Amino acid sequence: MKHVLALVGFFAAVCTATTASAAEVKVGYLLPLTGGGAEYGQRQLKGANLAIEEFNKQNAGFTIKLITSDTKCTPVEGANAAERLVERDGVDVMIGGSCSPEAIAALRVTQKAKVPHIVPAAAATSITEEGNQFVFRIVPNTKQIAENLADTLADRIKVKRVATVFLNDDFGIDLNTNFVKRIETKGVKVLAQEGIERTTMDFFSTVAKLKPLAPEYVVAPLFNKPAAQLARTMREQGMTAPVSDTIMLTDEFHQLAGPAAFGTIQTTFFHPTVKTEIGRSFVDRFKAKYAGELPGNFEAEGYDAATLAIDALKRSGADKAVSREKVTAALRGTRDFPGVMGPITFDEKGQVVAVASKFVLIRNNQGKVEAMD
Amino acid sequence: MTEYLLTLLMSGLVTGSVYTVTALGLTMVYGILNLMNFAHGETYMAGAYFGYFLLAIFGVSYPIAVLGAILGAALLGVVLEMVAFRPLRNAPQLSPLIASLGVSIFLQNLAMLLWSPTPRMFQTPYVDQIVQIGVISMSMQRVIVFIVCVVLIVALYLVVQRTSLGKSMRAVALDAEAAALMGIDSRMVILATFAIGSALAGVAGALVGPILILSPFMGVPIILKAFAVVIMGGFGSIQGTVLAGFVLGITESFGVLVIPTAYIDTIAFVLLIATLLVRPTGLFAERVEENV
Repeated sequence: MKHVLALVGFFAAVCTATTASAAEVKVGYLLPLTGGGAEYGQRQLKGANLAIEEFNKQNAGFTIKLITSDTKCTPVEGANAAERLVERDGVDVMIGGSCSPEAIAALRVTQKAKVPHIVPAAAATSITEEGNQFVFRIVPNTKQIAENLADTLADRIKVKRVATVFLNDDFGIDLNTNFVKRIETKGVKVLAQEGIERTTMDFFSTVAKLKPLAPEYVVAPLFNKPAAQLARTMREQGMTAPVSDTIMLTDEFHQLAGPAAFGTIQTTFFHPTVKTEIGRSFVDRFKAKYAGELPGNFEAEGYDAATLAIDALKRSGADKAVSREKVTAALRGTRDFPGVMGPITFDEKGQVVAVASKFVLIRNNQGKVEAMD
Repeated sequence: MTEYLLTLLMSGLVTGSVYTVTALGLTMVYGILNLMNFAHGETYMAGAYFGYFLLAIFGVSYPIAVLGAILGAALLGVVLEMVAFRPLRNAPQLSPLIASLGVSIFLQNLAMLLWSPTPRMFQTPYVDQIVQIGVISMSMQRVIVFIVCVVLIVALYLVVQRTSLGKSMRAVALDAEAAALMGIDSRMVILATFAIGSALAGVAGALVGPILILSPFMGVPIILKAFAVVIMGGFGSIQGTVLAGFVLGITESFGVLVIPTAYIDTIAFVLLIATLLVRPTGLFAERVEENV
């Protein structure tokens, strides 16, 4: 038995040694590639692949091999996928976490194995609140998103009266509570707060209730289809107030809601019409690689996560030897890294600092959806 | 304020009519077979998808799409009866109930496999056509839902009360064996009941599909409401079901005045419990002896 263990130890040592000195660094990416969140996963992967491809052409002393594993957006699969990448593939940096439950489960695995883990999308505030020294989230969390939306409406749009419609689950309640708290301190009246279930598909009575209150905006952080349904029902009953949403909406919403979406404003992380130089350049290179396709939030998340991982590897001296410890330290020391979704600086918990330039405000102007200045 | 209350009333009538039509299909099958068919919600879901595909893929007009959904749902009901329920006719009462649960889960997963779990929007020309009724405005689609449902309710009542098929149905419901001795082909009557009941679910699905969002799980919330309506209406009673369906729809609609939207679904069960406490046999318990 002792011999067997020694043998295993020997092989493990050999394996680690070869990984460390090889010119190829393995980066793991946990994504929902099948199931309900598959679209998010597929789109992130496109952004990440662009970043890796660009880097591997540079002859920087090492190359990156991206290894993906499917999380199906569930905690069980998230943990399994992380286990596979850490144990079987021996990745030195992990990227991943689109749905919060999946991210939380995967982070337990990477934390135990001391693998630095970049979270590109999952928004639950708790992810960076549990003392994990290996987590680095590049997007604002639920609380930051809610507060930015409140600031935007109160300070930029200068609204005085709003009503909210939110999902009655962990995410929706967290978002709504933080939003209401923030916007009320700015003197904006919140006329009604209507929680809905994920299964709610008919908003007729809800709208009937909101209409006499005459809000200037109906703040509804919902997904595309329910949000479109809400906007259409508002027009059906003759309400003219636009909907305001945050990161969940994509172009699909504007197509589904048609004229009911006119005037909708939305805060998000990235939009193909952004005016920053780094953003424009990303859009151009993305279009060139993917036959004219336009990148959105998810593609930008994948791209920023991958470029940040590459940058941290470079700074930790990965061309000589890869050390998870050094990569973790390098990530921790990230200051104003130029991401396409705005600058990345981490606080002591590994949460990105939510400066205003992490957000872009987009508006549907009579059917044309574009970033506002 | 009156505008608000009238809007809620109209909304309640529309929802109530859909609950009623769906629950009528359920109550008919219950009346004849003493079977609570859990798969009824999936027939409703299938009806919505049939209508959607006929309109969006094959480009037929909406009325034709609804007709197609009716036929498709009726056919589905007949197939389910022959494959899942008929073999269990003489089994203990619990077996068909569990079979219907199985069919329900099977159909949900089949729909996910065939049509993907991604929700779809069923666009008809009537959704964006706004009509003004007095002070309130609503889409033409909602008006169509209400009118068609009311017509169907009346038609069903006439079929059951006035036609020979309806008489046979009532006879089989009273006593299947005695009806068979009198020369009624109870197998055909049961098949016809399944076809009509499923057609009602299918038409309800195709009608409200455009004002909702289609998903393989859309049958779950409606079946819970329909169950509550059937029980409140007194198992198998058409008049009771109609009354309970509209009461539930209108109560839910006015419920937003007092409770948050997220908890509206509890109203059905509060009403159900209240009915059972006051009238344990349901609102119209005309056939209570027949069912024991």
